[in-house]
Amino acid sequence: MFLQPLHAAYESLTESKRNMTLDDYFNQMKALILQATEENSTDYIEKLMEAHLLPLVISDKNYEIFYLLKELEPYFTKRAKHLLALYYRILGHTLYFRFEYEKANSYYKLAISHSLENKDYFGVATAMNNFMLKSFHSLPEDVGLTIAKSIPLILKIDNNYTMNELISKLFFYIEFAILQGKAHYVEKLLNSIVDGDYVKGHERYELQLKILQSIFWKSKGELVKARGLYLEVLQHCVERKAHHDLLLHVYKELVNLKLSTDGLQLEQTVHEVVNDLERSLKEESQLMLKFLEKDWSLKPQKFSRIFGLKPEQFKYVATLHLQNVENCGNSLLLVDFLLTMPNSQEMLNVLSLFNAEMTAEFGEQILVVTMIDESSIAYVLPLAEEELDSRIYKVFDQVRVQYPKETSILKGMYFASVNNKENNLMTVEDCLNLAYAYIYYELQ
Amino acid sequence: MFSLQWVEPIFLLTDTQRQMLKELEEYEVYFCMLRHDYIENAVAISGMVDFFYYLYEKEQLFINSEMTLYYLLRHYCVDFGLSLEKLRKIKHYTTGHIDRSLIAAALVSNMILDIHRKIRSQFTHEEIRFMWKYMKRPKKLFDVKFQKFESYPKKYVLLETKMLQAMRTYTKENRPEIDAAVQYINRFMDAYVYDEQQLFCHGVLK
Repeated sequence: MFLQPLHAAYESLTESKRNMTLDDYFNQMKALILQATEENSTDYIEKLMEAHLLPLVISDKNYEIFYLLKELEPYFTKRAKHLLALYYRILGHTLYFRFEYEKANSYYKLAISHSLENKDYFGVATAMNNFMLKSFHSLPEDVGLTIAKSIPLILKIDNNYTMNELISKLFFYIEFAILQGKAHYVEKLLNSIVDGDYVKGHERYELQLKILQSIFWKSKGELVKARGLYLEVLQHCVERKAHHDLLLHVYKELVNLKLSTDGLQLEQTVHEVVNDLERSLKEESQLMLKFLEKDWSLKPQKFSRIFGLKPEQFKYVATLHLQNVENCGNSLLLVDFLLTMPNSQEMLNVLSLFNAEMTAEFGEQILVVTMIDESSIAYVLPLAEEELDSRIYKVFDQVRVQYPKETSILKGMYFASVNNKENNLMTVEDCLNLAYAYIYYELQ
Repeated sequence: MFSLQWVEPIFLLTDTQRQMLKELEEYEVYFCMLRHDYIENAVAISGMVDFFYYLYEKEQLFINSEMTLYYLLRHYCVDFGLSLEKLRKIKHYTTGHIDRSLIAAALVSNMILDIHRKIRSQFTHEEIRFMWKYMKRPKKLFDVKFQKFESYPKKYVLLETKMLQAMRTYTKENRPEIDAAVQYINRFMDAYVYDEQQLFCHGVLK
């Protein structure tokens, strides 16, 4: 197929995107990204990701974007390292909008680190904001305020930020402070933003600023001023038929405050728009549910299903078991694997096989299991050390059938069992420390 | 869930100071500032906690001599960090401020992790893997019950010493690079503290 030069194809995509269906737009963009990676044109990859891919993470192309990016991971890690921060941020967004917050945060975390290394402070601040988004309101008030204050300050570390970027990062701090009853903290700041006319011409920020002012006045008990500003936002959104999230927010605030919209000529229209919006949101959430079901069945959580709980969950549950000293008590079993050369896929295969053989030998006696790190696996079983040690060799023998000692990549399997009752140790950390020491001396 | 309960700070701390570890878990986002290839590394996280305590606490902290036996490399890193006069100066910004202390601790840790990246190639993959595994929990290796095998865990101590020596040589031979890193940290903290005053005390945006 004849390919247009990248710059021409990019211009054409940018110009014609409004006239295309979402499918066509996405397919063209995908083809262009693949072309740009083949040509190693990182400038265009960056432009495409920021201007075209990023806005689509909230569309039903979210799933395809995730898999497109995962497919391109080797390219980014090997040939476009300077774009890794953006890459991880977008991956985080795709998961965030699929409500997989924990997984999203694992990518935002990498985005923060890479951005800081690149001295891209806008990237650091944005990824920090994303990382905190889900947990901000559940944090203790002083913690939330401290972190919300940090984010705009990090953005300001160099002088390349725009005023809009700074203000967007300040909005959250201001809202958070007011809602925590600390309006006096932010009064000067809010006035400076209003007086400086900094957001003029940026429609959404203008509306967000008015909402913040409303929240401020409401906190001061000035309900008439708050109502006036809320209504301005409402009227604007209805007339423009845009910013539906802000419209709904403002409408609900007015209803919550029992602030009547009487006298406003738009009242009928407002109710109609709100009803339409609520209906479409319900439809969207139904679609999202179907989408998630499909996602779940196609991509089961292989990793966690095989290796049980995540390490932190394991520590909590295992400690509960290790506090039980009835009968012979419970034992923590730690197994560490060594390959002849580093190979993460082979290591995962070995661990999977070992876990399958463990399940065959011990079955329901396995109370809890986790992968401690990339080469170690831990179990808790209701057995004494002696019995556990005598039976574990059967599992090793089975693993050695597939991975013979002399000819396979599996160089060694080292294990240690620590019984809580025999050693008088009641926490996972204590048992693990001793188990690691046993393995250390076994290795000598 | 981000946990720091396993961290054994290198300084002698009061119970109240130790309890702060629990509080620090809420500030996970600052630990994401560590270099990406060390972001889950127990030694890097423990090191950041060490620097945090030094920077945050008003009173002078003393190194726990028992810990120096187990954590040779962390002890060296803390000693090295505190030997840099310009780094000691940022303490007047950070004392009593959690966010400033955590950010500065992450930046100082990154300076040290960058040195570690440079010397990493002198070690095999297996040696690195061995070190990270046992440096998280070395205490039990020194337990009396194992002294019948060895008077002390030689392989662990020798490898840690080798790593420490490699870092020491690198820092001696690359002083301009270290000075530039320290200057960056100072400038970062100067800007952070100045902007904090301007923005949040005076409402000045520009």
